[in-house]
Amino acid sequence: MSPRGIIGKLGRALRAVSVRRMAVLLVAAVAAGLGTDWLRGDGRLIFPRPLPVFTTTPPAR
Amino acid sequence: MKFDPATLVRCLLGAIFVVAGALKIGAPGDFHTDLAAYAIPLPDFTLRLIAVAFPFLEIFCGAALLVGYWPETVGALAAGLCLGFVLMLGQAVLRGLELNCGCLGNIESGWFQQPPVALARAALMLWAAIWSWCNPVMPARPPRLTSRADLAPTQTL
Repeated sequence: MSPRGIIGKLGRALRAVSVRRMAVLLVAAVAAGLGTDWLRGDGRLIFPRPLPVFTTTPPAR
Repeated sequence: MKFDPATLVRCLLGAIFVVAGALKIGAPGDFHTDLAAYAIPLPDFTLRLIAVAFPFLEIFCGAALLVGYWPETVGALAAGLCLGFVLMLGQAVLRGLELNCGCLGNIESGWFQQPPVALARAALMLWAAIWSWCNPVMPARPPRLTSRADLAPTQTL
């Protein structure tokens, strides 16, 4: 196949791409990533990590 | 059943994407470290966002390739991802960076993850992605019947 034919084929394939479907995939991936990051607790990369919880016990008498 | 190389290549590519994404999901911190080692001028927040979202994008893209869902869009996405791999690894090889490619998480840090080998893999995947994207396999559909006359036999024995 000639280079012109290859470029034409790529152009046709590119014109068939649906921007809406591409956006759906990208948004779904970002949402899933952020959701998983939130659930990760101490291993979070985006959301702030939860502060450590300290418990105090009264001294034994 | 007719052997179809385009379907085989598409499924192979999809399986690679799914496995690569699944191996990265569990350790986004390691993936973020691998991304930072490429020394690309992007803010740290962007790298963190990529580290948490990219494995899911790979899995969605791979699963769609495997089942043949939205082939015209997912094929372009797969080709775009592979082009991104080639550009990232190409600049790492040109700059002589010593790093783990991070393609398959942190399962192994041997020769397979070295930038030149990873660049060759990425280039092969880019070729496969573009080829399978530009040669989609259309599902075999029965001919459309427009009238009752189409149901009549055309040949008599």
